[in-house]
Amino acid sequence: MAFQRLKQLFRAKAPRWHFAIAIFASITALRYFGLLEGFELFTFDFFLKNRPPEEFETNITIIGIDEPYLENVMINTQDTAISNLIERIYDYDPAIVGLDFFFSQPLKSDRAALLNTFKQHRTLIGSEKIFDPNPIDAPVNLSGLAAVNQIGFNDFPIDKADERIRRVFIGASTTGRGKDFRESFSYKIARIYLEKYHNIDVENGFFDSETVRFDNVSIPRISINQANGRSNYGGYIAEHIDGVQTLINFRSGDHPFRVITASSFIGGNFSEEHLRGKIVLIGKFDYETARTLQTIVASNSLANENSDRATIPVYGIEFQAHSINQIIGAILSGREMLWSFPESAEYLILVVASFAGFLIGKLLKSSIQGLLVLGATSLLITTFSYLALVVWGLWLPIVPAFLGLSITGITYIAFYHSERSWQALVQERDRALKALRDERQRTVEWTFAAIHSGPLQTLSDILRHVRDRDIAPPEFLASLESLNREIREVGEHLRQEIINPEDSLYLSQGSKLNLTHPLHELFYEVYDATLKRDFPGFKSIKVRTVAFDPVDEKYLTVELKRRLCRFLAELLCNVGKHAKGTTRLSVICQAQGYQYTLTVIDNGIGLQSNHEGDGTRFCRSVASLLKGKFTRRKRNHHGTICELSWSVLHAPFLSNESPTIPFSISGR
Amino acid sequence: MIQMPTKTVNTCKILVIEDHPVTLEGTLSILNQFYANATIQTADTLKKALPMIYQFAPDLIILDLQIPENPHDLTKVDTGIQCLKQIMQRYPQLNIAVQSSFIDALSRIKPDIDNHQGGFTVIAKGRSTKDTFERFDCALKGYTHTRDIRGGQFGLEVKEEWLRTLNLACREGLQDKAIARKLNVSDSMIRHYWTKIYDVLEIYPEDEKENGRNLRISTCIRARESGLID
Repeated sequence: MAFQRLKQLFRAKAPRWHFAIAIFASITALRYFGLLEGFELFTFDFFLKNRPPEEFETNITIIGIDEPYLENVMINTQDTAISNLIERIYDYDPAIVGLDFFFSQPLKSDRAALLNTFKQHRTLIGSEKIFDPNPIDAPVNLSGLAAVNQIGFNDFPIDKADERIRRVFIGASTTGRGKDFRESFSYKIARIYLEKYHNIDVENGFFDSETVRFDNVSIPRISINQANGRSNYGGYIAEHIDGVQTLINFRSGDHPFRVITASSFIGGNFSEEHLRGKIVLIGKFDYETARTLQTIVASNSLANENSDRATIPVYGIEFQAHSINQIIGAILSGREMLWSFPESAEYLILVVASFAGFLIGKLLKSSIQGLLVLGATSLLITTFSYLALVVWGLWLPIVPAFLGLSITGITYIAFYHSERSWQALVQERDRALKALRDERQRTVEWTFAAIHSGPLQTLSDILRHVRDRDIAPPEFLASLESLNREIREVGEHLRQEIINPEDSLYLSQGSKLNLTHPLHELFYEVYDATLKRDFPGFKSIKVRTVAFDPVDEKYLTVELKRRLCRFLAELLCNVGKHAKGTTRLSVICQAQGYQYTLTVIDNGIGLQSNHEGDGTRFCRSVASLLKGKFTRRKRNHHGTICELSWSVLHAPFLSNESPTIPFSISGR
Repeated sequence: MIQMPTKTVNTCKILVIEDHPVTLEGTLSILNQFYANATIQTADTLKKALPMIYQFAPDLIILDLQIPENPHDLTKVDTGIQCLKQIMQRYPQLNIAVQSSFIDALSRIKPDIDNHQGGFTVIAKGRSTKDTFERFDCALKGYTHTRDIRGGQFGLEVKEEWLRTLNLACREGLQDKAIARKLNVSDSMIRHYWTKIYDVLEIYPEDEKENGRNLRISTCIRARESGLID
């Protein structure tokens, strides 16, 4: 029993949920197959690019090996040039030095000077490239523990969707998990810096044991589906993830780090404080030979004032600076790292957004209201997701949520709009049916009365005479003829009652006008019937003056007459509905030569607003049809004057063709 | 042709336009009962009736709206209405009593009725003998009685000229002749206005006289009550 009722309820509600479920399913499918990935990454970039700028990072200094320096050192071998540079830097007691530099000569060549430098300075970290294509060895051949402690890999994970870089390695293994797990260049520098200078040791994450944690800050790891090594983290769909990676939260602002070119450093053109106790990163600043990366940030040494920063790449060493900065920033100054919800939570957000769209369509009574609220809600969730990213570093699925909300919203607004119009149509049909029923009822009653008072009377008269035997055959014949005619007359009247629908006009009180009658008589009938309606504006009327001059009908079609009658009814209804307190009403149709003026004057409370309803629009359409003029204005003291004037000289319809402008009877 | 209310009704001429034998019989019996000395003629088609109005020059016509144009034609209310309009146009001072089952159809020519200067009364078929006679008599005396085709609406329906007449009479105390001069119309037109004003205020001169009231004064009082004059 209960099951039956449940089934019924579901069946009754089912058509309404179908759209929402279908839209949710389509968006889920689009996202699942990666069709939204581009949009999601684009929005993510857009939000990140438009963050407020951050303060200058003082803990990191970049020494850029620029072209003039490279040319200089070509005289020497690169080996000695670089090791000299590093030695000079160590003169100023930096906290840690990272060398992200690949030599043009292969490793076999003599690097004794650099090897010596690496052995002397245990805080000097070098880089290697470990992933295909083209792995590159570390610049020096360190052995054993030194190789583990002083070399980090500097591969960049590139997004398959648009070949840009949004992620960074923490660590990875090239062969398989665990055995030869290596730390990335940037992570190694950050870790050593935190351990040596802030005594913060690395531990496993609290919730995610595969990530790393300093104090109580875990680095948010991009989660991976263990089965296929792919990830649906944030907006990524089936992105291939090696090792442990995190999203990179670039430091915003045009000048995030201090950059000193190698030539100005050699020239002594720098301040000592910029190196002492700092993380110093050495890398190429030469567009021809350095690695450049496409990210949301641009290198200052490549950008000039006129260039479009969106297309400018960053140097590899700058990218490393951002990566190091985000780890030490998160641990030392509480800067946010970027993270995202688990995939299931993202789909829950999509369900909620779609449901919100459904509610907006369902609950708001008018479509305009619905669209406004929908627009406002969309704006709100977009703003919220931007703020969530800026304030909490949270990457929300705004693109699918926005799509879910707006498509469901628009669909349901349209659905309920059409349902409302359908209901209005049904109501109108019911009204028309009722009018028809009433008319049939009246006809039946009239017929009964007509037969009863006419032929039946005659018949009983004849019967009486026949019974009394006081009727002569000629009189008897006359009576029968009269009876015959009476019966036929009832039929004729019934036939007349069903006047051609084209020639008749139904007023809302159930009275029917024959449009072939003269217009001034029709006007009077309209006036007479409309004033019988139960409107507040009519109740206080004491005096009505009315005068309709005959109208030259040569120029009027039946359709035009119908519209003029409706027009008058509309003006009178307006008085009834809006002109409360009217005591005098004057309705006049005046003819002056070829010029006609139909005027309705009341002394009620007058125009309350300039709103133009369907009625007013209809009035204007009648005026333009007649090439006439419709005006509505305030009277001096009280009330309103409505006036339609037209001239038969401008009459547009000289033939009997019906005009084709459609007009549906407004819901009165 | 003006039928003054004072004229003796016994010697008047009445034309009954009616095709239905039973109704005609009833009408004639009323007329015989109340107007013993009247000359009565009848017509059962419009074709016969129109020349008779001209030749016979009746003081009162009693008209059924459902009347055929020619013998054996079917009757149509529309034909009756058209005919009535013609009669009113051609004989603006003729006294007319309309007796019909379709008096509602008259509401569309009410403005024409309001302009008609002779008496004009309306009675539905099947009303009592007394009511019927009173309406005939009213029309014969030149009064108007159209209450049956008015109604349902708030306020009184009047013409500008009537309002002006009332204002001049009740607020400025002018007599009919003075009003006629002011409004630039004939004296008889002012009398016509009064009969219409009586009708719209539902004042029936015979009743007022019987009750010993001054017709003008009670009209002015009633007009003030109904808001026709401030």
